[in-house]
Amino acid sequence: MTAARPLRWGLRGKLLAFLFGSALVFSALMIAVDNLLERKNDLERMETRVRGMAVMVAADSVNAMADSNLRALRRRLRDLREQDEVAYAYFLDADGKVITDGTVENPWRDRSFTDAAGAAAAAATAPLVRHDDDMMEAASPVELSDRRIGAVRVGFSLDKMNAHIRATRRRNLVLLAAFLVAALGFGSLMASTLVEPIAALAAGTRRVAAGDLGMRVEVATNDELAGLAESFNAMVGRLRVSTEKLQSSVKEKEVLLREVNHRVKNNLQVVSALLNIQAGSTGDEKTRAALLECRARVEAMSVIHSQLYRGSDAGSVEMRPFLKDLAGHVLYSFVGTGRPVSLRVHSDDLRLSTSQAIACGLIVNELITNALKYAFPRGAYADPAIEVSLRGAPDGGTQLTVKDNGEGLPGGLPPPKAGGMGLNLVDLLAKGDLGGTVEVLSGPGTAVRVRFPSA
Amino acid sequence: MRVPLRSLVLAAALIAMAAPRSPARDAGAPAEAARPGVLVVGLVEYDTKEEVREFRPLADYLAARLSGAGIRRVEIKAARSLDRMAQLMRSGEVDLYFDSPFPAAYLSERGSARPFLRHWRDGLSEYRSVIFVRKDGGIDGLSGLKGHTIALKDLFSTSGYFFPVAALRRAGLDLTEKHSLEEPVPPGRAAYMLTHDEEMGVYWVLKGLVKAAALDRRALEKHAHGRMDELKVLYESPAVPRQLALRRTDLDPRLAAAIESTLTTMHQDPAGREVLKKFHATAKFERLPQGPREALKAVYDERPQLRRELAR
Repeated sequence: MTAARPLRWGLRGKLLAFLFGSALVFSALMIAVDNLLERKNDLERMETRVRGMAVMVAADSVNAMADSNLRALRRRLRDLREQDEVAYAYFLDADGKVITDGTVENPWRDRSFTDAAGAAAAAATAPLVRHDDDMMEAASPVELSDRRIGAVRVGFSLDKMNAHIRATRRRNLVLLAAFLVAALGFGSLMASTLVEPIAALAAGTRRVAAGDLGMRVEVATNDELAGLAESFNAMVGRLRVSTEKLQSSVKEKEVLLREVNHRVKNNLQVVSALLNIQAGSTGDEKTRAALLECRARVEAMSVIHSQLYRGSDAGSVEMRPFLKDLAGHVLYSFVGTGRPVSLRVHSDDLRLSTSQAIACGLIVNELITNALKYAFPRGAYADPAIEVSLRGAPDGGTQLTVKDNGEGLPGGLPPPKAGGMGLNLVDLLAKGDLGGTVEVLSGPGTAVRVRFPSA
Repeated sequence: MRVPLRSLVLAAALIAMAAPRSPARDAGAPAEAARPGVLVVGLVEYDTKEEVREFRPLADYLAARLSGAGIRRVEIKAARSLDRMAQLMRSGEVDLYFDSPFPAAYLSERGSARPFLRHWRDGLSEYRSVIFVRKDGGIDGLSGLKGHTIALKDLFSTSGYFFPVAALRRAGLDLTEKHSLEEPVPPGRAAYMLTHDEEMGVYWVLKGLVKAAALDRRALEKHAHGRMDELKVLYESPAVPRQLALRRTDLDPRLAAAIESTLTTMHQDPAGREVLKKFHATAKFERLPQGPREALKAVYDERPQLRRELAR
């Protein structure tokens, strides 16, 4: 079962929802107000009509009522009842008893009304109108020379009026639907007008982010969005020019850097060759050894340098291949000088800054050189080995260890400054360049561990 | 401006064709002979609109059934009085007429028409006229009505005028007509007021506005609305046919026979029964078993009153 994808409201959806919601609320309010006013107005019109009719019937029935002319009264009510909306009509005598209801059968004659409306009509001394949801009733006194001789009571069905109101409501609902459809149509148009340029701008920014600086956003409208698109296009244009300049500059510098590196390498090779020639021409063994050590250091620096300028990132060095390459080169320079020594390099996947990498490289060069020169006297060890490891320490720093399985240092741990130049150089590089510490570990063979913090 | 004669004739023809199909109103126009293919049913106009509504289904039914007798159309013609109806039937403008025994005898005596069927109006074959008073009105007999007002229906009502007036006169009362309740009764006489309405006489008696009123018994019971125990009947006439169908005297006997046959059998036909129901709630038409004279015997028994009315 896949997880439900959350509903994402785009700008178009929000705009449509806003317009639709606004139209719905506005229309609903208008319809509610219209319905209320429609009913109120209809009721007022009906009240006026009903009251007027009762008063008129009362006025033109005075003589018939004074003469107790049942026939004339019946005819008057029968004419009245022929109107669709008249549900009932009665003439009442001065005592409130029914004279006629306009029918030949006249079943209510001589009876009194017991309902509140009937009692009010029977006692009416002035025109009155009352209504409920379905009926509206009017009563008016019949007066002869200011003497009340009876009353007329007329009931009107509000069915027609209610039907008219229902028809109005139906019409309003149709109008509402039409209005909402129009709002949706208008909303879609507005959404297209507003959202499409914004969507084009969004797509443009995505292409720029992906590196496409040759694109242009085309917005055909004549508004702020068109201005925004123009500004965007201008910005991308300037960015393109700047990027091209930078790329050109970078290329020039890369060429220059390659040239410099090439010259440095050549110079280091020349220095190494000079030291080698110088060592070969001297008769003093000590001088020759010092010159060869110096040549080895220069070559180590050359290896470090070649590693550095071959890397893609000039600011840092990937240490595992760097150490393998360097250690292999140092070992190679001692080939043929004694029993073969196996070399193992273990390194975490670390990158160090250039200065840290150079210091580490020189330290490894000195320590491997020392091990090759002093740890394995000729023929004394069956399986000589040197191990170089570079690990991240738990405290966040880095730990570089070079150890061998040879004789170990003569007389245990050397006091500071008591070692040869190699160890002094290691101490100097570890503390000075790396800001770390140096330990010479006891045990079989020699192990030197340098701890230093991250740059 | 000179209007061509042909245009005037055309306009007159168009106006005549456009005239609505409504009952012809008679205002004493010159007599118009019977028209072939047209049967005319007459009515005396008390309430034309209501009457036409009741007559129209019967007229349509007759038109549909009498085509075999050469009738293409049945019209309704209203007259303003019974005298005018007598005139119309005599002249052949009205062929059929329906009324109670006294008008039937009146038209018969005028030689305009003769009754030929009994009409069970309101489901009744016969009825009786009554004169009634309030029990607490202090009147024990018709002679006690001297000095008082009696509500009668109208001048050609059998139960609401003819029989009551005959009875009152037999009881020794001199009658005079008055036109309002306030009008005083002349000394030594009794007065009557015509209500032209069935219910009003009952209402007036119950309200104490008049001492007595006359009506047929069934109408009295209907309009008393359960207050019969407050009333007392002083007189009741012999039973007479509720209503009669009359045809003009010189109506074609074959057409008369066709009409008689149609009317007397229509209660056996579902469509006919529906029409009868709408025509004064008629149960049926039936032949007069002992002839028209015997059917009107009770009226003819009041010969002095009949003569007086004919002479009026």
